[in-house]
Amino acid sequence: MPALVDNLAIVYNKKLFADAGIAPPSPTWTWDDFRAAAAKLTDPSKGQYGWLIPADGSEDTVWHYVPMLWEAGGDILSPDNQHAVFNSEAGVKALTTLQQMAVNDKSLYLDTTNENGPKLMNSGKVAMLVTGPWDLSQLSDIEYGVQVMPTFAGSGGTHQTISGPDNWVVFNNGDKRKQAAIDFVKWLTAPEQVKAFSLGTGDLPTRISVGQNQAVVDKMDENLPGSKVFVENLSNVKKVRPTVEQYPAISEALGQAIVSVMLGKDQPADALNAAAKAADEALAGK
Amino acid sequence: MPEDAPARRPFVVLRGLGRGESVTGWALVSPAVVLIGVFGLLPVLMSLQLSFQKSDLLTPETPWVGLENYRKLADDPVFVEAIKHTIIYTALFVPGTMLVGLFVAAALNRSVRFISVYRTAAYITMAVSTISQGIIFLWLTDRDYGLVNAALNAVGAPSQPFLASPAQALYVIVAMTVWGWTGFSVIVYLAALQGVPAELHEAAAIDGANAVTRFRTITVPLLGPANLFLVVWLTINALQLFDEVYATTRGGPLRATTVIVYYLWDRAFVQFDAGYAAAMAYALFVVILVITAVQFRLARKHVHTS
Repeated sequence: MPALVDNLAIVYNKKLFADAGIAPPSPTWTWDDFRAAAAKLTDPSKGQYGWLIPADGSEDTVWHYVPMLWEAGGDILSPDNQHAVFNSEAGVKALTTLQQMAVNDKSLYLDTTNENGPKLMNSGKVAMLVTGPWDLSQLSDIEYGVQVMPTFAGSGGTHQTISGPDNWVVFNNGDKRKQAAIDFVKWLTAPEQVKAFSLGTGDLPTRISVGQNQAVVDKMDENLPGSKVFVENLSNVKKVRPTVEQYPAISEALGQAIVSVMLGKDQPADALNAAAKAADEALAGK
Repeated sequence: MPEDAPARRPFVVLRGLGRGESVTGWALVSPAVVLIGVFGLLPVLMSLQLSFQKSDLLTPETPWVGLENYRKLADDPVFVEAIKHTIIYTALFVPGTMLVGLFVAAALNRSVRFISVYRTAAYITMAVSTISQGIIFLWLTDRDYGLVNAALNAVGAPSQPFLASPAQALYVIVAMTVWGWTGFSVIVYLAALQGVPAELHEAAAIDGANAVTRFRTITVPLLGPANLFLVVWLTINALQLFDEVYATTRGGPLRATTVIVYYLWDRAFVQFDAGYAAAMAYALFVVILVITAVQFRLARKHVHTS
């Protein structure tokens, strides 16, 4: 049963945008607009970067790339989950965007620790993060805005994002306890409880009915500005990552490919082909 | 000699232990025995069993796969890479820590005012938790905001990426852990240095030996047992490097700092391939056993223990 749901959107520093004389991100932004803005927001003399991405090659890196892959029209695996297809034209297009920003423009801060994002954002060293609602509470020193992720020009303008669900897992401890567990989880995920959770923790509502309750969403946005965009952004979650046993191995191969390109060690097509080969091997060795 | 008598007495007492006393004895040590058994011995045996199984740590079914996990080790390029990184790390970390430690210990082996303050200062790095140490070094060596790069820039040198660079990260971790462990080797060497009889130095000095010669011919040979202890202890720790990597680079960038135990953890708790990780742990266990045995054998030939 769903316990928590997140998604990614742009969180930006309003002041840095105003200082650079750039209009804040709009819902019609393309990745080209995003890239141009990031380049303008980069100032090496101040140690300031346009964007920051987790770059340890873990799933944290991968799930920033995946919505770009989807927006470009690609996917991770074939529909039957039998082989990797992220080394498609769309995959190369998405990774090339990251390459251009990291290697050519140097507007992308590669966070190899995965710890620095909110800190550098909060101290005004990074102008934009692509992140989820959980980072908002750490941005107390700046005035930030939230906007949905850009699209690829010519891709029909579809916005996508990626959701990171956590689940309640119930263990089967015998028939006597089974019914009690079912009752409890039903109660826990009922609208009333979901509402209390969202208002109390700032977690996005796991029920559409709660997400459509304007009063709840307004209250959440008041508690933590920007929450509203994230709640609405849930409808941009159109795909999920494949639920196959081998996903960790696929993610690892893809993560290493993304990082090697961003570090300027490899070209997008070569890196993705190598990763797809490793992913196919993992899928074949069931 | 009369002093010998009390020293022998414990053996006499032991031999005279009655049945009741042995029960009392077992009762007294039982908390420790149970704790070590449950949290030490049992997991060791269970992970041996796990190394012959396929397990994701969650699914109750853990089918037996025989030696499959061990066979996989042989043709896993990442494992080979991890071995390479571990060897490079150990080869730099162990002598580095010992040399720096010996230098500092020799400097601290004198009676000047506030000497205990200096000695405490040398040891204090051991009291810093690995995670804090990792965070400190992350910021010190940060490519954009680090003090080290600020210092480099001040003397006109270009900024270095350090931990963000696949070519440099492992060496930064060597430097960081040498810094962290120096206090340990200082204490060991300091104790050994103070055990060097002053009369030997005096006699040699009267014979005309200068300080450097005396250090080389008297002090260094007498440090044999300390060297042996440090080589064994530091090597075992180096082969088990994990925390510092986890706290800084997470095995990256591009696996440049993926050492054996980090890879093991990654396979077990990120990729949920626990059987394979257990096989890796046992392979490492055998390697440590062999290396330690070799070290002791070499030491028996070359170390003065008198």
